[in-house]
Amino acid sequence: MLIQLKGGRVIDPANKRDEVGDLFVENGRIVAKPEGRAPDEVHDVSGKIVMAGAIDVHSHIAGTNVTLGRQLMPELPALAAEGGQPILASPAAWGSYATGIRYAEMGYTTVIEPAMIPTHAIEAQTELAAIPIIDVGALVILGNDDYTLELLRGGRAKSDELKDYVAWTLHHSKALGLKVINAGGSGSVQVQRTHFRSR
Amino acid sequence: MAEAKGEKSEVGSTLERAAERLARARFPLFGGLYTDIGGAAAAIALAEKLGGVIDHAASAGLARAAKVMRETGATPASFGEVRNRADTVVIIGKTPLQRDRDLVAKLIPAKPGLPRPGKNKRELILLGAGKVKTPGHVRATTVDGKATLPELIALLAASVREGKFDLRDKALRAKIDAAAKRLRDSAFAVFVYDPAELEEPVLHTVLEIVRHLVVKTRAAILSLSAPGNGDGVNLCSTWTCGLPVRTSFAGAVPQNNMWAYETGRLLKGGEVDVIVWIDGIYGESAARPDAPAIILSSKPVKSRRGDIVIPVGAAGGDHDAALYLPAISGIGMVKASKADKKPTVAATLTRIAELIGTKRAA
Repeated sequence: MLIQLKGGRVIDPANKRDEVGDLFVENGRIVAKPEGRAPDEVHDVSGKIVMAGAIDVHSHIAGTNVTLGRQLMPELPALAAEGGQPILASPAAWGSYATGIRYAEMGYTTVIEPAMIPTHAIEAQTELAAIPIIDVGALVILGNDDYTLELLRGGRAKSDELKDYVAWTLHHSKALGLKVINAGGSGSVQVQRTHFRSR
Repeated sequence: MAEAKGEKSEVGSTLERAAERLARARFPLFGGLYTDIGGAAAAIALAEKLGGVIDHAASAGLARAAKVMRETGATPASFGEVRNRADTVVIIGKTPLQRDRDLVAKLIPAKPGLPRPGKNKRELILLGAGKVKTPGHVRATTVDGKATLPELIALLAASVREGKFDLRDKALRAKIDAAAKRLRDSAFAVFVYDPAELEEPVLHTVLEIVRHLVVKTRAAILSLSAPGNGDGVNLCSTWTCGLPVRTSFAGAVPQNNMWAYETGRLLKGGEVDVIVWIDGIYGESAARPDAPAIILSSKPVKSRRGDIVIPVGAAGGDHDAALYLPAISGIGMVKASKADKKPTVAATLTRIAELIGTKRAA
């Protein structure tokens, strides 16, 4: 199927293109304007921007931190509505459904949750799966847990044990990557504290 | 969905009747909600579709704990953190040990865990917990007397703050003061309780003790999770619609109200016209309401006039299930303990939703 996006402002930094024009898509891929063929679908996108889907690599869209926040502020949707903030005309106006809709409206196609706790990975992944339209993924937190710190303190930073642990955590949490917080643990905090005191 | 051989038409007919009743409902209640995350998601989706209300049978403690945390904040610790780090564990009230007889051994295991702060030996303080047999390796102090539980907590709070107060029961006074001193000397004290057992002002008093202690040392709470996957269902509700249970989908936007959308009040006031009661967790049971209902249960149900009973598999028993696990303070997967082809709550509710859709389209 050949689709024409007609009359939009096409922004393609990789090809140094920024102009009002048309874009053709066939079978899910962008193609050059086919000569001698009429598109199957034409969408008038004049006044709109045609660009690659944006990727947000750091947005807390799922997980225990987000759900706790929602639990602590159940009045927020009502307050936001009174204050003129946009609330979707859906019963699910403040949850994962809204997350997908809002990001899609802003031109995003991929969003990454950057702080998935390993023991709560099932919860975060279940919640991510409930977000519609956009592609999602998560970074699993590793580095401030007892096991990693024990390995680091024991001089086993480059050991196979640590590598295996990282691989195991990534595999079981189905994470896209790692998020390392306070690498080195309390020792590095101590260094910082000393550093700030000396200044 | 899975159906036992030979029962297909009977089950189908039951689902049809349930769908018919729900299709006519003006304000249905999806209650009980003793189900896994899949079942909760399906119940919430159907409640949204029909403009109904959701509540969990054990939401009293959930609602109370959330409200108190909302009002004043709190420092919750995970189960693992208490097990590994706490040098003083205070178990408040009778319910925690009634719900889990092995709780003490789980919180204070015989073998040392990870490095703990401070040099204190671990100590358990049983505050108003009644007569309890504790494992031999646990050093336990019982603080009990004729005082009520709220009084005991208030006395402990006063003593922790080293405030002046009179108490005729000198023996109790000595126990209270000793416990308070131990708490002040602790490297990491944790207060363990079931929020369903303590009224709001009492919960605030516990949090006051924590707030006083954390000025000089570390202290936290371990608010026990609700039975029947209550915390899991609550989390699922929160990520699905942005709000915890006791939420109505009757209006343009979902509305959460801890008083208005509580099951007991809704039933007493006759505000809901159809009840869907879900009781499908292995080893746990939500007492059915005293009114005709569409009942999805994994246990035998004594049917009453007006009931529509739909057998379902038990989450974590008959089928694998995502459930809230206290030991990880989060949702985990529980493998089925036996293989049974009874349909899940999720599959049953999804099928009912499809049947309602068909009826509306016709």
